Amino acid sequence: MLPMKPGNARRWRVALPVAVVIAMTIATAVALVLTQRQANVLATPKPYGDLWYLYSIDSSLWHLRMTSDNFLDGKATESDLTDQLEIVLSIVSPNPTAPTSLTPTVERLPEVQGELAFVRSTVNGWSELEAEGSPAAIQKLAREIQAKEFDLHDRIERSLGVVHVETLNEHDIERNKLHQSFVFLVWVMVGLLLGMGILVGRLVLDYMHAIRLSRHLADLNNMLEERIEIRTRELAEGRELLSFILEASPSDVVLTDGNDGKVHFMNSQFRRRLGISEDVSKISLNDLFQNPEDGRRFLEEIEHRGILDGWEAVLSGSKPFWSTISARKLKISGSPAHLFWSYDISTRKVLEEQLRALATTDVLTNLWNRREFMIRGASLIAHSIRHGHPCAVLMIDIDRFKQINDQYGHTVGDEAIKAIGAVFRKELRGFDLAGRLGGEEFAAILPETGSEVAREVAERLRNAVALVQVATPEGGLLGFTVSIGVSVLMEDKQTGLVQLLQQADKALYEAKNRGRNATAIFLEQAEISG
Amino acid sequence: MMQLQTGGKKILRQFVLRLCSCKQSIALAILALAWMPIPAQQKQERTVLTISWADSHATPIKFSLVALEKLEHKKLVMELPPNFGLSGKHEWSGVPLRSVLAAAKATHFSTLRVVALDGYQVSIPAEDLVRYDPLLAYQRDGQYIAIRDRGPLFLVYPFDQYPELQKVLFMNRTIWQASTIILQ
Repeated sequence: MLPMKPGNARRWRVALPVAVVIAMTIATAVALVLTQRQANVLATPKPYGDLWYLYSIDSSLWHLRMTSDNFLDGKATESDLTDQLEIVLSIVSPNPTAPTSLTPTVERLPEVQGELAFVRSTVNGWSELEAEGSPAAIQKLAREIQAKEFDLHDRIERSLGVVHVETLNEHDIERNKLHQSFVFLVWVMVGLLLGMGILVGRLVLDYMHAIRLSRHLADLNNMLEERIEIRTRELAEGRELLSFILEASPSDVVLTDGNDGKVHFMNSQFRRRLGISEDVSKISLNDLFQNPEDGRRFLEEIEHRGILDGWEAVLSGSKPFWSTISARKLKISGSPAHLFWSYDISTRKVLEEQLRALATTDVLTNLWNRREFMIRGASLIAHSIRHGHPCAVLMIDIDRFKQINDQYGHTVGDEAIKAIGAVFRKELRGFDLAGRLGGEEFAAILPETGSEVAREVAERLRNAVALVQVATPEGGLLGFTVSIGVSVLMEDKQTGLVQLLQQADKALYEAKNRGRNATAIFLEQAEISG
Repeated sequence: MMQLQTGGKKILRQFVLRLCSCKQSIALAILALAWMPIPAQQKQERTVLTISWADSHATPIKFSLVALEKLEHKKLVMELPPNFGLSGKHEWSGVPLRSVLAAAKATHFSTLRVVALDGYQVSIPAEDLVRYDPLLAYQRDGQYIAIRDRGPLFLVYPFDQYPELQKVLFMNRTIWQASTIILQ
């Protein structure tokens, strides 16, 4: 057997039943036509009168012969004879109007036709004698019958034999035809049976295949359901675990809808911090930010980059607080969502503030330290230069500070320095810049201030300091003074803070030289006015 | 063979026969007999039907055409099955076989064996008489039936009225030249 490709096998499995059905249909149609034709043939009865026809001629001739014998013996009348002749005539040559026996076989056999023609002509001859009617004619008739009857009988007998054989042959031919028809029908039915067998077999195979498939499907379904159950359980466990982790997390966690910002989930710590109840469905992302602008920017960032780390913002709550925020854009059940976790950094912020203060201010005076003063001062000077505004720089130094320290101790010195800070805060304007440059040396920058006003301010400071007294360890009070050097920003000179400070320092040196507790102003021609 | 050829003679003869049968005017009958052709008269009065009993020695009853014509008269207009080789509708008139048997006072029989002049014979069950009422016809299309026309008596079934009669069985029972009925 040739190996079959699977594709071919499948094609055959479809084509074979179709071919069988077509063949069955054609065979059935042919059988139907054949059967219909046969039925039509059998619908009309077939006349088989031949043998009887010949026999009745023979029989009636014999009766005629008997009657003739009797007539010649005087035992029968003339009418007996003529009646019997009429009977023979009615069979051999009936009136054209008479009903007749159909004799198809006889008509088909020329041999028999010849014999019958002879019989007919003989009997017709007798009929003519009968018609004459005279006693002599009747006598002649009777004798003729006696003479010829045997010959006629012989001819009829021979014809009977021929017709008998022919009839047998005819019957056999018809039987054969019928037999062939039935054999054909049998083959058609065998074909139908085979076809039906194939179709039924095909049906059974298909059915079994369908059952196998459905069983397989059921198995798959069960497996799938089992898997789904396991998966669902795992998911539920996972969700529970995640929930637990999120709830236990020290961070604040919130999950919001990516479209409308509604909160899906918020861990209890965050809820507590925000001071809201279990129901989080009415809260949206924007409500979380103290500053709505922050919320807007946050959304922009997360939408744009999908990921956000270390973002700092003040979150609203019963008490607003700083948080560092991380966020991820993700999808939940196909819709966008934002996962957002934050950490309260209020404490860090406070520490930061403190650190910043420590880094920029002088601990004793709360004035800017040297570094911060230089940075801020530079920008202030640059600003004044850029806008062509006047600006003055003051250098202040405590007189004989080393002596105070040596005589009363560092604590008293520190108190004096603290007092300077207090005076500066009291006497200077809010936008003036004041700093402790180091030791007993201070500086101040006075924006929008010309040399005259600067001198007044310096004098006011000097006088204010002169009024200050600090407690000594011995319980006494100690007064002290300062010397101040002033420099002013010249409109037509390119200059900076360092130069101004140097100029002011020169003026301060001059003030010290003048005997301390004095103010000196640095002028252009290197003169210093008192 | 002597036969009545013209309708006029036939009607006259029938008229005379009726007169005779009335037995009212014998003189008139004698006159008529003297006037009519004698062979024809003989023909009509010859026995055409004999009824006998198979299991009895009772005298057979004989009917002439004249006697039959005195019985109930019935007509059938129909076409015989094609096997008889006689196409077209024809009018058959005669006496119902039932009436003939009644006239012969025939009772207690189940089968009629009908024998023809040519030797043909066939058995007819008695219930056919009730069911189909076959006609023993002596005239076809108003003419007596000659022996050469398969006469003088032709037993016909009403083929037009009963479709189930279109079988060889009933065609065989349709017997021409019927001459003897043997009751069994």
